[in-house]
Amino acid sequence: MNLCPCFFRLKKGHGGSFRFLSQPIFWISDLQLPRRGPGGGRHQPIRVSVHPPRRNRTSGLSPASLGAGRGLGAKPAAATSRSRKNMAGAAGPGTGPGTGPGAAGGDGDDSLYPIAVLIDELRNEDVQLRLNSIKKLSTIALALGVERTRTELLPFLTDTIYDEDEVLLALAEQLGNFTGLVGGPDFAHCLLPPLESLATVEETVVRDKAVESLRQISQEHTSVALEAHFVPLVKRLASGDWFTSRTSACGLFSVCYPRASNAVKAEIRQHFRSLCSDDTPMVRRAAASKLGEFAKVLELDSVKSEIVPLFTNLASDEQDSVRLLAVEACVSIAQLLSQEDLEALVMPILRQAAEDKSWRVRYMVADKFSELQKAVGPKITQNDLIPAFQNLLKDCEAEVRAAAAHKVKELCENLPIEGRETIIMNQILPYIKELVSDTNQHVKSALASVIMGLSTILGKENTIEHLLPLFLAQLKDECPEVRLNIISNLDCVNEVIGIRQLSQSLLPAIVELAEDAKWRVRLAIIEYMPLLAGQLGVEFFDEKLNSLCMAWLVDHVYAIREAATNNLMKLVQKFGTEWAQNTIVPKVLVMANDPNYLHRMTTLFCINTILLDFSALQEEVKPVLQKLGQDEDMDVKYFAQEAMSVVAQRLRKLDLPVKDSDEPSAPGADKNHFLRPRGPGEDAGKEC
Amino acid sequence: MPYKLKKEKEPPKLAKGTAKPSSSGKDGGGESTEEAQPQPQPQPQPQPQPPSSNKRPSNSTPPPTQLSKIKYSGGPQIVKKERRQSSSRFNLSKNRELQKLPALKDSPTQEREELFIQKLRQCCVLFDFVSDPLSDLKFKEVKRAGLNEMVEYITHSRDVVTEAIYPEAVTMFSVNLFRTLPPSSNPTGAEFDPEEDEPTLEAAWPHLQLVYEFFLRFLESPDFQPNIAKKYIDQKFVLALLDLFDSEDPRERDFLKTILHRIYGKFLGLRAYIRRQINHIFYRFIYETEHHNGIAELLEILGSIINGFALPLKEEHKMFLIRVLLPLHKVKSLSVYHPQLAYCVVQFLEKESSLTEPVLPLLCPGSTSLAVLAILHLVGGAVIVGLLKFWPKTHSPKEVMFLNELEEILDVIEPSEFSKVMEPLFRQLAKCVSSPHFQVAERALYYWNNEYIMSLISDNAARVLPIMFPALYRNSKSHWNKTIHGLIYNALKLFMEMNQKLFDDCTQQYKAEKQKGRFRMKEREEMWQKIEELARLNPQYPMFRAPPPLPPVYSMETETPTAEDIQLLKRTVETEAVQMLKDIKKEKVLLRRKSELPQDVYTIKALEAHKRAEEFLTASQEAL
Repeated sequence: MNLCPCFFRLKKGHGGSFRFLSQPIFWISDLQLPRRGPGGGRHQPIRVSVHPPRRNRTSGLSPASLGAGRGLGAKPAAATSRSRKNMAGAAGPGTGPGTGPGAAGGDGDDSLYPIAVLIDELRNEDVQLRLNSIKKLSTIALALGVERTRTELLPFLTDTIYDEDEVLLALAEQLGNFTGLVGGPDFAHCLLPPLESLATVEETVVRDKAVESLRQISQEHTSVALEAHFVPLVKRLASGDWFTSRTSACGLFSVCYPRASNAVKAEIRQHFRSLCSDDTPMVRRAAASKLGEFAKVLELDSVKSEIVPLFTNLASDEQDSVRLLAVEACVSIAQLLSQEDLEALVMPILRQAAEDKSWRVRYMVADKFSELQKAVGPKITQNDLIPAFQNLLKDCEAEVRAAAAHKVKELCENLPIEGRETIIMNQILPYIKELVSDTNQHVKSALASVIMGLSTILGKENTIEHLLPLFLAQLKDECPEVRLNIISNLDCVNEVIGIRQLSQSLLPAIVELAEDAKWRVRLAIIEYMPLLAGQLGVEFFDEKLNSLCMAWLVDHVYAIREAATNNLMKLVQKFGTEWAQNTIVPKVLVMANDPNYLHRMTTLFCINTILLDFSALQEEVKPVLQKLGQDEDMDVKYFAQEAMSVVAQRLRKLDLPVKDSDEPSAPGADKNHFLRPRGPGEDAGKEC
Repeated sequence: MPYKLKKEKEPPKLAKGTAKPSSSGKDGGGESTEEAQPQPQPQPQPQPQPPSSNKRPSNSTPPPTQLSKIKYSGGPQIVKKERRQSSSRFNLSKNRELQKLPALKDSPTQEREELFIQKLRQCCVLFDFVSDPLSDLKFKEVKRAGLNEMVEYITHSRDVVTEAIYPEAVTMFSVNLFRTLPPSSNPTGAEFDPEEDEPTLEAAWPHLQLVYEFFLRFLESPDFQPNIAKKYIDQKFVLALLDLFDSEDPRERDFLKTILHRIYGKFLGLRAYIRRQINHIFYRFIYETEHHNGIAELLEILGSIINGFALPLKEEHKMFLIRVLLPLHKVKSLSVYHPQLAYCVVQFLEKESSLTEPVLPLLCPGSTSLAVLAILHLVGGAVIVGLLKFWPKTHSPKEVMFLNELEEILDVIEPSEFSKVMEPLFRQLAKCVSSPHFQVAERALYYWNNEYIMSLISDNAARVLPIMFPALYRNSKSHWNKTIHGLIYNALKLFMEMNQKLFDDCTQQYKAEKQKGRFRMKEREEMWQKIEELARLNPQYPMFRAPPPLPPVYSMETETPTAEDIQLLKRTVETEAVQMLKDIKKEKVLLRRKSELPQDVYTIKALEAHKRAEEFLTASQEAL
């Protein structure tokens, strides 16, 4: 076998210039249209006969001859490699007759058969077929064996895949798990050339996947191989011509740094430094986003001497998209430094970021606040972060305020226990009070989603005195989302002060939501009903909420009726079958006489979901079902039949001596009742 | 040139129009074949446009970006929505009490410069328009009047732009305009729909408009000397200016466009920088955010820049075509800037239809043939290959846009280039013709009305026909839309007339293929079976659990005519081919609003009231 072509080319082809999958082809300026006659593979001895040489014009380029050319290795590699590449690369979908290498088995040597099949499949016009073939790459590699995979398959892939991004993505993913298939860690470096090419393509998704695979493979390299093959690859990418390769390089520094020798380490740092000050914002962004990760693998001295200056530069970049990524890096860097260094080196920048003129940067600070808080420790938090947080809570952009409001609970939780209460009461709560009446509903609803959590931190008295008025105000908010967020978090308050304190205000809020004009709002409140019922108890429920639950059953939106039905099921699970029989079943069964067929169907759906005991089913439900089985409406009739079979099944079960009727033996019926959900629009037609 | 002729006859292009009438059927089409060789285009001279004219006189200027994306449909009456204006102001000026200064024209000439500077400084005071629109009304008026007066003054007086004015004017502009744009009021990311979402207007517009206007007059003043100004209008200034292009207010972007165009024209030293920064914006848009409000305006400027490129094209410009313009086709919101993008691409092709040196290869769709790769030396080919690479897979309206653009490109392509890309090209067209979306199929079939394209096809019939025939034949019966049947029969008829013998051969071959098809499917399965067996022999096999069986690929087509013989087909073709109306339906407006969301009258009125500084951007001649 000749020298693995990938090495061959790596040494030759990389003048530091941009490298694309197809590079070699285009650099041949004499490349012309399909060649006829000699010069192609036609006259080479064909070892793997995939199919007989074609009679049409592309005969010289058939995959058979390509496979043969490689397999033989008899022709001098230098002379043929280019034309071979061309052939494979250019392989156009077979328009002519005879695509499949079906007749392949006939000829003796099978060893290259898989690769010939792959080549042929990759020429297919149908992307799905090409994709399928690439996904079976591991099978092909297994069939070829490790050596042939290295010497035949990988070079082929490196040279010839120009495809839809989707296919490239699949390839990049596959190669990440290929180490075993090329002969284990000793040969992992064989996988680098195709992945390197993939890491330079335009499409971000493919590039990212290639980088991910490269990171995976880097772990499998021996230290020697890492320095011999992987590090040079990173350097090549880092000095690539186009931004794609340089952005890809940013993600690879941290995986190869820890295992490199000191000299190489210095070089790696140097490369990373230059990427951080790259001319292209895309590269600076990539570098900024990996800064934290890279800092973690560096020695502490280097962090101080090199990373901090880089961080400072990125944090004052002209583009806000770069500056905001520096905030993220700040979290990791802060964890590495001592308190003094932190105060001296990082805090000035963080303070500056919290007051950046771009709201995006301030938003980022708000969004990462809990992480920052943990990273800098309690002392700095108290001195620096709390004031910054106050500013964020009254920022002029609603986006920033909302992000900060989201963090209120976490921030308070993470404060050191002693003194926590005073800090919250004196420094945070006043700002929260203002946010409750913010002009922006997103801010209010962000706050509403976390504010209940404060009650556990502040304890009963403070909650009643300070928080309760806020809760009540929010329960009356004009924006339904705010009210919903409060209601959905009732459990936190329940633990601390008991829900009774709230129930007076709660009820009007619930009723209003239940009758909201937007069905999505109604849907949302229905979903909290079982929870509320559990917390408020059966009496309160019967008294105040039951009628709401029944009203939803005749809502004019299907989704609401469906949710109401499920709600009943959950309530029955909570309150027991007896309660169901007394309070729900009569009302449900009355609906069977409703002139509106939709309401009659709701009865049926309810019967399907609610679990009842034997006598109730037998005596009350069955007659109704029989009546509905004769209904004039086809749909009602159909679902009545279905309900009858469900009931019959249940009766049979209940009839058996096994007595545990409470066990939710829902016969997989929960979902299936709604076999034919109708859209709200569909209802209208029949109703009138 | 036929292309130009056609352009002149066409009604002004709607920025949103997705369907372009196939124009070649018109009388002028006959000359297409003879005149197909694109002549070197005479450098379009910047000619003064009547400001009110709505027509594009020729394609020498880029299509202007539509100010309002949404046509006011007068739909359901308007619910006044919550604040639709916004503005991100971090610092308002502390002291906002402005003293009214004496009018410039009333003051003695020697004091005018000093007074002018004073007024400029006064206008650096910023006011609040958002949280309290009624604040400082008196002082706001002072500033407004001052700006107004200065606009007049700088437009009508000579020798007023003295050296001392430059820093003051640039500072005034920067202070007023360079700001962080407020968060988008519209949904971001995938939910953002540039056609549907109403722009948020800039609250401070009453002042900003005048600031823009003043600065534009300043740049355009005959006294303006770029050599002095370049100290102040530097890279940093340009970068800040470019950042503003993301503004949601179309009026603001319109001014920015004109201003940047002027700067590009006057400051030769900044040109490369401006182009590079625009590229960065595009890269970010394509590969990172997919969200930017000013792409159409930027492309419009680039259109005028490309127009002025010197020949032969520099490597940098060719890279720009391949690496920026073509990938821009990939983005979801293409419809917003497609007219401008298509203009840029066609400009490139008209500039120089063939290049001698190879373009660095970046485009290589999987199924291209050797021929395609070889033609990457040619711009036209590269563009077509690029379009094919980014061809939409599921987004039919976008596909129609691609078909429009492709036809424009084919109109200017040289036959030699055509012959090199035609195979992948027609394979794609075959797919379009078979598209279940009838607008896509219809648009593709309109190509058969373009006589220049037909002449290209007929010169290469032996290679095109075998590709197209199966798609046409299959769909002649099975397409659900009857209009398509007519168009297909029309296309088949044209093929038949082109080369009777070849047509017969194709029919024969199609039937033969048909029978082989199923057999081949089985072969493929056996093939993989065999590989699977080979793989099983490998001791490592259990470690790499075989991937789950892949879903079989079914072909979607249902019953297809198989029994019919050639004669029958011919007869049907003869009878069914509808004579395509020469003047195919005028520019169908395919676009409709997707929802009946109430529109904000105020926004619409504000946009209608905006007057463009200039209807068309003229070419910026590249310095040699």
